[in-house]
Amino acid sequence: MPPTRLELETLPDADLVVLAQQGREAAYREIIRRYERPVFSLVYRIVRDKEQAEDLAQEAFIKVLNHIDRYNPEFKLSSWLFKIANNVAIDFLRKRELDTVSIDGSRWADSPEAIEASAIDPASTGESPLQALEARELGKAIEAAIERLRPEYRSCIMLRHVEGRSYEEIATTLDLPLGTVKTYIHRARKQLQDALAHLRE
Amino acid sequence: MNRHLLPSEIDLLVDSDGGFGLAELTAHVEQCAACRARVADGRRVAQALEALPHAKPSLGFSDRLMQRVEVFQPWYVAVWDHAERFVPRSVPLRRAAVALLAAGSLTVTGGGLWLATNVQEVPVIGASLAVQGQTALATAVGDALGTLLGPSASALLRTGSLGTVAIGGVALLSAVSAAALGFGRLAAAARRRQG
Repeated sequence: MPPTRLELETLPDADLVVLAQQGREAAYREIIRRYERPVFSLVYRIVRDKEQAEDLAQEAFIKVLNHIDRYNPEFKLSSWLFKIANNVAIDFLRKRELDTVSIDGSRWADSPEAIEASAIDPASTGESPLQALEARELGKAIEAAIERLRPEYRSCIMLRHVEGRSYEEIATTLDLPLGTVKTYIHRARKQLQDALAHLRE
Repeated sequence: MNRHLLPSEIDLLVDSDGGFGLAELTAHVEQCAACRARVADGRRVAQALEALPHAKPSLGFSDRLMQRVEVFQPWYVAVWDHAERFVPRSVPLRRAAVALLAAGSLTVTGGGLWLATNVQEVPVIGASLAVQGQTALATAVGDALGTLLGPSASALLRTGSLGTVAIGGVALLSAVSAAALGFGRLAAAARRRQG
């Protein structure tokens, strides 16, 4: 008998993949439920456009789920997903030849509402107005600085600090040597520190 | 330590809250204002990154995605799912089903053993059964074809030979098989589409 939704939520990823390989639609949905936010978040941080990020995140999921029979249990499902998502996003940027995207909204937005909807809103909660203002300033500054990073640096720094992945996991996910990952993260941090230097003063 | 920290050592302190191997680095930071400032800068960036709001996709993302995903069910899983429908849910019913299956298997085995030990009786019984079977088959096939093709086909079968009955039976079987195959393919296509 197929497992219930509650049982699926407690299954490790590897068991979930086995069920998906057996054609259990509920297993597909559970994989999507677990990773839609992290995958979308990673892609969004790289391409900086919500609509495009949704399309690219869907593309990443389709590439994984339509070839779920090729999953290698030696690697984590999350690493595979992030790898595909990263590649999809980087390929998109290369095709579009984007270097920077405005923090104030998508360049494809064609109405004030669309611009506002696609703008990044780094709001924080539970703070005094001054703290909130400072946090907002810091958030805006770091968002702007992230956009100026090379896509490869962006991927590494997002996986490290937003997704909480270890250096080794990032190296496996992005198919990079561990030393390269450490170098990218170090350089990304250095560039971000320089960009935030004016706020420290 | 009589030098400033290396960039990799700064990163180590930014990434860790403490632990084995960092005691020397931590001790240096407490003494060196320059390195302390560099570590503080690194931690500030890390905290700002970790405080970034998590982006989430729009409502219906997963539903839209599932419409584009091909959910493929291997044939052996489909066969198992189909067979599982006939397995009773309750334990007493399952026991009754097992008992019935065992009784049926014993009957068939007993019948086979009887036939094997009474070989000389088989042709007589067999001939009688064959004649009865032919008559029953002709009637059944004739009725079925009559329903499908009209009374003339039925009459032809009743007056025809065993060969005519066989042809009619094959034709009927082919029609039923084609219909079953067609429905099966339609069901599989529907399942793929819904996936």
